[in-house]
Amino acid sequence: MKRLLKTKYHIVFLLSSIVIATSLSCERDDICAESTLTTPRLLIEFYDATSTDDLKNVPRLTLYGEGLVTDPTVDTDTTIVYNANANSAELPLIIGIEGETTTTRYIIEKDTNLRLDEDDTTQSNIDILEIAYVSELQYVSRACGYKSVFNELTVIFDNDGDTWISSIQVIETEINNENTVHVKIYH
Amino acid sequence: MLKSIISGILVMLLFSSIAFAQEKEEITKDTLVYKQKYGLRLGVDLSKLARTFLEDDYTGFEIMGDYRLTKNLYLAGEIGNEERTIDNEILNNTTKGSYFKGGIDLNMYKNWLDMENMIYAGFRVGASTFSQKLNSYSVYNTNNQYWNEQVSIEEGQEFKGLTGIWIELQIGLKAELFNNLFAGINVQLKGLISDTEPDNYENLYVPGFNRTYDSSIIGAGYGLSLSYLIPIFKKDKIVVQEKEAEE
Repeated sequence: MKRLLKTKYHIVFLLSSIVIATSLSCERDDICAESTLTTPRLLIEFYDATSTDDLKNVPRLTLYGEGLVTDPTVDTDTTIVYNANANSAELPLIIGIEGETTTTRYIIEKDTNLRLDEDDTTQSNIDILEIAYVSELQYVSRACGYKSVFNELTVIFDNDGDTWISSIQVIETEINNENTVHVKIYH
Repeated sequence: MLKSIISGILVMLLFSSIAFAQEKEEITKDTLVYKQKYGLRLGVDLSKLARTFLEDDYTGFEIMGDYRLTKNLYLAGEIGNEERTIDNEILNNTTKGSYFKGGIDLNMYKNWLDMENMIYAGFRVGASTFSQKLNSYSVYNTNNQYWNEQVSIEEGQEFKGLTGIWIELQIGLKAELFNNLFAGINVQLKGLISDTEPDNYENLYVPGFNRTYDSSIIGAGYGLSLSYLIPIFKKDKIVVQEKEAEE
């Protein structure tokens, strides 16, 4: 009888081990944690053109992807910055095709309030930022899959004769995180 | 008449047995000899067969065998083939390959009489060669709704010639259902020693080892087996029993 009890104990032990083993198969590995670094955005900062070490707010800045909206009059998800004094922004980039040069264009509008007001004699100043890069897909984990990093970054702005941007400096040509600023814009 | 005779005999028997019990007892040793079967036990894993039929994303087969060396020690091993597809929101991957596991089983169960059941601890070294095919995947981008861009790559990419080596601890039991036919169940705890990492990817599944974890080298598994013992020779099992004997 004692031995039979012992056998029973063994069986209980075995069954509980199976339960533990199967429950192991559903753990945190299967969820992509929000803290995981995946596809980074392009970090830009606005600096003073005369005193190049100092951040300088762009008055009444509106920033949005070209073609997504024209002359926005309300703040939406499409406007990364809307009618606000800002000295930095985070821009999502189009991933495109791996290994090929992809271009993302952003509209950066200064003095948005002048467009929005009733006075037609004053207007805002719109510049276009053209960001070109080569996407590279990198494996992250089974839950997050792949991310894209961006190499060979170049940033230009269209010269329409009436630009408020004076120059652009690319700090990082390889964008693989959001820890440091990638591009400095002087104005 | 007959009833009273029977009851009379019963009463007499009862008293006589009490009388015997009251007699002085002495313990003597009695030696019993049982024939123990030694041989090769071969079986298949039923759980893998069942999963092959029930699950769309799994095909697998495993043959297991053990050979009894001494009273409690068995040489044991498994050989198998598996194909497993892992499909989640972000990627779809098929792993295909074969494995071999070899080691020992140590029976920790003291059998009654001539029974040959096992509650055992097993130790294995496992090796697998396999290939992984990344069927499709998406690029994870928390900001992809901005440009309304969902990057999905559908063209398959195959990683061949991958290998994995692991060690394994098994705890299980094998019980003789009928003559020479055994049913077994075991749980397996594994530790991955090494595996060839594919370039810009990882091994999501290793045949025989089962799924891998990003956070650790630990793996787990189980087995349900049906096996048949081919007896090759017999050995005596000598049991010394302490027996109560009347003087």
